[in-house]
Amino acid sequence: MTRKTIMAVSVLAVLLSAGFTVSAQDFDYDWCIIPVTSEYDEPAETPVSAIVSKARKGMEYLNEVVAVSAKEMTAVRPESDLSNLTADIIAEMAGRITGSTVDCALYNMGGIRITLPEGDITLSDIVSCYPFKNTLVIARMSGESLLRFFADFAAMKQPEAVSGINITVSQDGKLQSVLVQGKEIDPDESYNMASISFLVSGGDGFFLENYADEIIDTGVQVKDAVLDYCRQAYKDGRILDADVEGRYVIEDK
Amino acid sequence: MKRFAFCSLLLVLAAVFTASAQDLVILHTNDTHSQIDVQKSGQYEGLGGVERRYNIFQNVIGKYGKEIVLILDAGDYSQGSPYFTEYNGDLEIKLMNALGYEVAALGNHEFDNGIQELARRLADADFQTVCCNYSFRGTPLAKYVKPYTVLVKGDKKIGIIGATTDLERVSDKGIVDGIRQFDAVKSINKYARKLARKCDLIILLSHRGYDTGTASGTDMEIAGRLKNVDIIIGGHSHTFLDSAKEMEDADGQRIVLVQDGWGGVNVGMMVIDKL
Repeated sequence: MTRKTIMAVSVLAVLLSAGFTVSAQDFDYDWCIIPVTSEYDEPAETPVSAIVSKARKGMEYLNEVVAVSAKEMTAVRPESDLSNLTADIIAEMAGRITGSTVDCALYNMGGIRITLPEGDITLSDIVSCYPFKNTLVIARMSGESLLRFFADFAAMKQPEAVSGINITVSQDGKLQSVLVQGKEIDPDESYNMASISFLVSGGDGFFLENYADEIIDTGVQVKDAVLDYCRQAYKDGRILDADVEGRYVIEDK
Repeated sequence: MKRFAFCSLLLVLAAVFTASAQDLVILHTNDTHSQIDVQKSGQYEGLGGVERRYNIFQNVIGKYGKEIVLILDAGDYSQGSPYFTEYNGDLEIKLMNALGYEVAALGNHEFDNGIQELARRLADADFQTVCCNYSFRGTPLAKYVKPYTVLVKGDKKIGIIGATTDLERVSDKGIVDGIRQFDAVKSINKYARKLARKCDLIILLSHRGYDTGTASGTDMEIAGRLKNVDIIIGGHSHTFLDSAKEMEDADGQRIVLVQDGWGGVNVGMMVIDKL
């Protein structure tokens, strides 16, 4: 190879490699979190404040009081006052809407989005707590399928909101016992489980369609069903209340 | 000749000292979840609110200059307050436009009202939506979502690849019919390799969770299998970090992970000196 050729190849090599910008990997950086505090309230009038002020006006109707709660309630695993209350409301309303007898109910903890305050509960609270467009359903299944469901549910090690159910699960996810309406499940009987559309085909890992002979979708959204329940209770002078009762029990080792 | 050399030296020194000391400033949020108002209760009471966020963004832009500030969101700006229910998600888009967001990832809650509705909302977005691990071909979303985008900031090219969580687990069945999932790591690496040729920095804008929330691999779980990605700006797990997390990628190179908590109660800011 002549010197000229070597030069040319070297220049070409440099040019070629210069054309490939290797993404920077060793840059110096400073990362921090800026807390969004009242320090940033000014200026008060900005393009964003104009949009928000207008939006807030349209939200005022949500301040209507629709229920009263005996205490502050939150949904936590494995069992809580708010998850029990929610599952009870789902059970009652699914029955009321369809006219069917509801034996038990399943609702996901992830579908209860806020802590309900003590005292006045507003329309805004209900909409905030149950915001998703999931609808109430009734899953009709044989006792045998229901037992199969509870065994799988135990194995998920993922407690959810239940009503009409007393389930005991071992630490490693084995179903130790389950009662529906206080009784053992009869494999030959037919049962109605109230739930929501989200849990039918994979939401949060649930596939009710795999156990049910039939799924009836009421078409009624959770927030609307809860609202109807609350308004009726408010009218009747009933206060929202619930407690932990041992519906989902995880055995100690 | 001496005088000329001296003046040139002065000019050069002046240029050096007055030039911007930074190449890029990234502002990022995730999981702001329609938290438009200041938090009225709970552990973040008194924090947050979009009006304040606007002022923070403007302050940073004022300090560093618009040319080098990049404003990103890692998804789930939708759903979480009655504002979303009342205005069908339109308000969040309007606000993000006014706040100056440039690129956003798809969060699972963007899908809460269905694909048609999401496409309708994104049609009004000034920001670009990115997601590389799902195909939206044949759906109305196809024209609003790209696997990546490249922005020029100052004299640097910034590649931003998007990735989202396993939508099948977190969305109603009807919503995920018609969209196809790709292997996230394969897709990210494919685009990162392509972008490495022309970009000075490659960001993965991810809605897969920092260390929890996606069975097919959170940010921490996939970082070690990625190549050519410099920073993962994340979401989905609502993770509040005290400091950025540095990990090693598949080439043994540094990859930086950050996330900005929830609800817009904080804003994440990364100042990069030299790219």
